[in-house]
Amino acid sequence: MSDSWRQPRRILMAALGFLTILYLVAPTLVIVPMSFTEARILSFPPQGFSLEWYERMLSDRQWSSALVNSAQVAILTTSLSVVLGTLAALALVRGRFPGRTAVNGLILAPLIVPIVIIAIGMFSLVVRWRIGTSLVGLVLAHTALAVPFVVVSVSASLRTMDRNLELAAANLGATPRQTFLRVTLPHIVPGVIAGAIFAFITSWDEVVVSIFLTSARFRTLPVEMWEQVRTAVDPTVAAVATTLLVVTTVLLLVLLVVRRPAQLR
Amino acid sequence: MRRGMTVAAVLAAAVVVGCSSGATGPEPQGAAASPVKLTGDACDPPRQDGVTLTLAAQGGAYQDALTKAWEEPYTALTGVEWINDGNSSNATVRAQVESGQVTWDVVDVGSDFGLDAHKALLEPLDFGLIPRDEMNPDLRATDYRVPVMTYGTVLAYNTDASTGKTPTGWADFFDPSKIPGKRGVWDYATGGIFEMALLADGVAPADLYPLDLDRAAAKLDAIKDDIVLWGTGAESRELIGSGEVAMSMMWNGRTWGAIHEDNRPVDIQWNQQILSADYFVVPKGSPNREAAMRFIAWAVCAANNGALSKYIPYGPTNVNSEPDAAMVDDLAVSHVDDSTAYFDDAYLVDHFDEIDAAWQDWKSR
Amino acid sequence: MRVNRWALLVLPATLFLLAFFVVPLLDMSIRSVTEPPDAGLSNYTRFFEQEANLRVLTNTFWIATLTTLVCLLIGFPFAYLMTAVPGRIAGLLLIAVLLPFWSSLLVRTFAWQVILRDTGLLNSFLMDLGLTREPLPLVRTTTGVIIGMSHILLPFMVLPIWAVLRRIDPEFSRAAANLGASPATAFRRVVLPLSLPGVLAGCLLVFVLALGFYITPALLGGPRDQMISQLIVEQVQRTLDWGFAAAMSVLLMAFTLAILFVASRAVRVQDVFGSAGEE
Repeated sequence: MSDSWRQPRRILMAALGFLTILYLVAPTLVIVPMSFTEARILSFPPQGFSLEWYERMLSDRQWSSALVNSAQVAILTTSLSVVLGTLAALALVRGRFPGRTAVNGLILAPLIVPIVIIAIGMFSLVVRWRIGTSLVGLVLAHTALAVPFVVVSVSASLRTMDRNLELAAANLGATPRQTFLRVTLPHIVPGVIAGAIFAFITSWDEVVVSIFLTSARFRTLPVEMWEQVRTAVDPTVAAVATTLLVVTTVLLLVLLVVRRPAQLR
Repeated sequence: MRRGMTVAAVLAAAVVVGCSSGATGPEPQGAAASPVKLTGDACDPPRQDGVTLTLAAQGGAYQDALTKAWEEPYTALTGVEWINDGNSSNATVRAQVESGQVTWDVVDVGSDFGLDAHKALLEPLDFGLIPRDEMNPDLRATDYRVPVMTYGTVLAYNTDASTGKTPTGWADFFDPSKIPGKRGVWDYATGGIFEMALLADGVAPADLYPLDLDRAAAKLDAIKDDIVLWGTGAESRELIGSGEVAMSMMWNGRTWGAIHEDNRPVDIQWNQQILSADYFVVPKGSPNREAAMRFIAWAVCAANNGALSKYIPYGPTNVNSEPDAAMVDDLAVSHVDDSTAYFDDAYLVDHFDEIDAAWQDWKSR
Repeated sequence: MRVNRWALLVLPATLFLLAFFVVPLLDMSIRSVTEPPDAGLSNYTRFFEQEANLRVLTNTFWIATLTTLVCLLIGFPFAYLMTAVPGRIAGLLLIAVLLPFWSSLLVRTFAWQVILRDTGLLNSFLMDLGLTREPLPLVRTTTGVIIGMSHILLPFMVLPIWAVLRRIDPEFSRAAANLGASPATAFRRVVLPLSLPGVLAGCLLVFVLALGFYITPALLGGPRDQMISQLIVEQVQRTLDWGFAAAMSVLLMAFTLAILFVASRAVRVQDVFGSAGEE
């Protein structure tokens, strides 16, 4: 297509592309510097340079306990959803059973149901079962949201695997279990890691369901942020926002390194 | 394929039916517990190490003041630890009590809660311990609530954003031509917005109730496009301080914070303020109800009640208490005159649904 | 069909989702007709009888439509650009789309609030430059909500369109050029029609997701911009009317499923959401 381009159109396209990229990254570019301001109010450009708000985030009991809670919930969610999701992916890709389409639909369903409905549904559940606003309820809810991502990632990995490798292993005398452990499993590890990262991010950033499943005693970072954002008083919020962003970005960059997306090759 | 789906559907239905057989209505915690009857001296509570109380109030500067004035000294005195929740809401109390999972022990509520209409939701307070006769009789304590501080809902204005013009009362708030700019309003139907609109329209404070909602809504229409709704005191402080709104309805203590702590160009018009009180209640079924009431008794004790005014200009409710000398001029009670209005608590409670519906409807128009 | 051993592996996830996803939804559906007791369909009729609710419903669809259009207008050219540039730049463009896609929705919405408010970045910038004398009302308006929602949903438009565009054989355009078509004509009569599946998938995804938004309209919108999710939350948190909230949830689910069903005539819905779950 590039050989039919003319200069003005090229410049126009480049300009549009640049503006779109600006639109996409503007929020990040604004929030991060703001978190380092010296002033007590959220201002841009930031005045001075200070790590005060990060210190406040780590020393203030509400923020620091929210940080710990978020990490706990995310790690547990990731563990549970990786197990459930990997098994399900194996079954969906390699397996044959009645209702396979229905199960596939069920597993992807959390992606389309409006989050508020999931939130109040889970809230009603934890009240009824007296689980209360705590770690357990959150992990269960977040896992339901994260499983689809794990399944999709691992399935993609499985589908790109050359089945002949398994056949070759069988021909060389490997038992099905050996084949699985030494041929299939290593191949899907990148998919599992990717799924784990998506699951972690899903839980780490989750707000709406968490609003309903937390209380003053047990809050996660996004919920604490949601409370503070509506009062928008001091730049600690920006420090928290930046922390949330940094964790996500680092994980994504890890992902890009570990598993170069096939599309780019 | 169909069989698999049928099995799944039956399983799901069985689980749902099993779960739904739980009561959807109020679930009382066993038999109704008898009212609390404590002994001892309100102002000299015993050691209660290992007890943790949850105090729900309105967050921000008020919650900080409660912590410094009452919670921390109480911890030093009795060993009781505190969890603070800045989201006090009548609805949450109801939700907790009805589901049988009460996590709040002491709740700070406004004029529209704690009356006899709410007795199913609240523990009757132990007035054998709490010094009811020392409370200001104008402040309408009931069997379920005790007033803890007085405050005013006032007209706060940003002197820069209102271009140097001083509003004289609510009439200027609802007149976009005299002082243009946005108006901050508390997004709560019984928070005073209808009362203010009526006062602006010339209704005398004594004639506010029953509320003429249509008349008030008509007055509100004049500033419909300029209204900025706030949900928390901290939000109102940020809005007026930054000048995002030229005027705001505000709780006087938060305005004080904007002026003296944030050093913003903000001032208060005390004319036509609505003087009111906040109350402590204990949700029915609170696991720490005795400890909660001991704390409430201590906080409204003559020696301690005035301590709050050291940190925020909210006045004591115990007639034997002295407010902090430096804060006296900033208290709402120091600016009471004929223009001051008062809430009719009983009316607000009886007509809450109607007033709330009118507010929701007006907002979405 | 025979059942093989692999099938057992799907049981944990299936049971888990049935218990913690399906059951809550079914529970809400039942509540919508049983609370208050003997409610029957009264919650539903009440919803349609109150004018304020209908305003919110209309507003929800309106905002979802506008968001879809904005995403299409911005997203299609960008997806096209991604196919037209060399591989390394395309990779960077992809990262530019994916990083915000995976970043916290709350953080990004909050950032927009800071940028768009009267005393915020954009207005200070415009007023300092002398382009405007008064702050432009952007927060607490529909415009602000659209800006925020489009920002968040843009990747959902770009990715499906890009996925389809990049599979279009460049030979087609070259063939069109050989037959005498101008680049514009080639685009209009070759690329555009072939891109439709991606466009439809993107629009569908954005619209359906926009219907259920909560955080963004709550932070960036005014009382008149209320979307149905906010109404549902209010009923649960404020008036504690679970039956009514449940009824609205069922309605929202019904609308979502209806749209997906209609769209399934044109696109393979499972693929659309599968691709959303991938990078």
